[in-house]
Amino acid sequence: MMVGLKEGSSFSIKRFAAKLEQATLIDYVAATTLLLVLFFGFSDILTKFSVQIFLLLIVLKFATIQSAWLWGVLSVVHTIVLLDNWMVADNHKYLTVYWLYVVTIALIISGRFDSDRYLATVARFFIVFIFCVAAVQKSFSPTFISGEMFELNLLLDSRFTAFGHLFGVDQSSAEATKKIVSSLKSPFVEIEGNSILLPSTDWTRTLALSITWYDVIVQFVIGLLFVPSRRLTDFMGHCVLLFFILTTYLPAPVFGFGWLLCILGLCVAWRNFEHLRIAYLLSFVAVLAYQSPWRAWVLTW
Amino acid sequence: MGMFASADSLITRYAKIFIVLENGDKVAIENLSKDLKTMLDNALYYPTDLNFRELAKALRNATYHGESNKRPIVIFDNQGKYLSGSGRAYFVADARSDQGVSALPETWLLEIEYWKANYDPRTRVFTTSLQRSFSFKGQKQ
Repeated sequence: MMVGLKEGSSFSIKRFAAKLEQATLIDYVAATTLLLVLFFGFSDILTKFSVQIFLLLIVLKFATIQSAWLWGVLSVVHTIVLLDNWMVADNHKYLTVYWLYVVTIALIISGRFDSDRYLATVARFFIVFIFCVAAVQKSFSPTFISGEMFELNLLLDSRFTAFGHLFGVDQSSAEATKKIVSSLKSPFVEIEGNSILLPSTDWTRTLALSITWYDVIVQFVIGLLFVPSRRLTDFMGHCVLLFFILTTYLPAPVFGFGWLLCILGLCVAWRNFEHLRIAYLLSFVAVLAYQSPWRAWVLTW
Repeated sequence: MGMFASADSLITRYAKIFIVLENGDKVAIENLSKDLKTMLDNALYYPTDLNFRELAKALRNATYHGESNKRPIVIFDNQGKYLSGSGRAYFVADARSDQGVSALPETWLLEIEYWKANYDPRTRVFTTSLQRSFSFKGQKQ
């Protein structure tokens, strides 16, 4: 069932809500995946052009959103751009491109096979794979598990400044650290022994370690909860995944990954947990809201 | 918080770029235009000979705007306190990728130093070490 408006009909919230209820999983996945590449896709002109053309075709004829051919073209275009930028593309861009092919295949088999089940199965695999592999990699990364990564992020990465400020990281020590590291990198400064003491604090270290261990544990929990494919463990997995999405993408501005996780969670929850569909749909809204300039607001408190 | 997390990132990797003039004076390149910076970031992500050579090629074709006075090199101790001057100084310039008339001689030696840092959270010591040094000769293309 397509969600859309027939020419000449007047808009009615009730009718729109009824159509949303009748929409199938593939409808939602196609729409949210298109928004994923539209909002958070590559900034390359080729992908932007292809997505915008696709969107234009959908506006002109809504049924186009279920054209497997067009999704196939979109997948190939994104693959080309990804390969061209493979060195610097974020990890979630690789996942996005895989997911485009998943949507393409779902549309090809739709009508002949159960595409909802296909999407749920692949999405479950993605969730388990993403979280378990990430957790294992982090566990074996000495510079991650020691807290080094997060302590440096809290002190030196401007994206974490507001988050650190919210959680009591001394801004003067963060500023001093930035200046010292900047000096160290300058060709006009030499430091004895090429080593310098950073003015970090015990609290910054504690916070960094806490985030580190939370990150590893929560990712293991999410990945493992979706393995058994049982109602109880799935429900627990969805709760933790939703908590992860809602808390992680506020400080970490990787919104494309957050959006993709919402799509994957929606696919897995679709058949067995109707009420969780609403939670995932609200998570999409949250990911968008997290783009607001809250960091600037926090830093002026 | 990405899939593959490590402290080894663009925070801890950096480069120092110099032009060595015929008389041995060095020009430190302080700022790069956006596309040169992107090429540098690519080279820092994957510090291969090829990527640094591509960067050097682009730098060779860049336009430079600099100061006529040298800037002194100073020495600090590992607490961040000023110790002394080093007795050495470099010229300083910014590089832009738009091709134009360069004030530098056509033949110069380009030096790129690739540095990496690591941080010990227990001692709070941030240590850097020179990983590789690249030297490129050539005429402006």
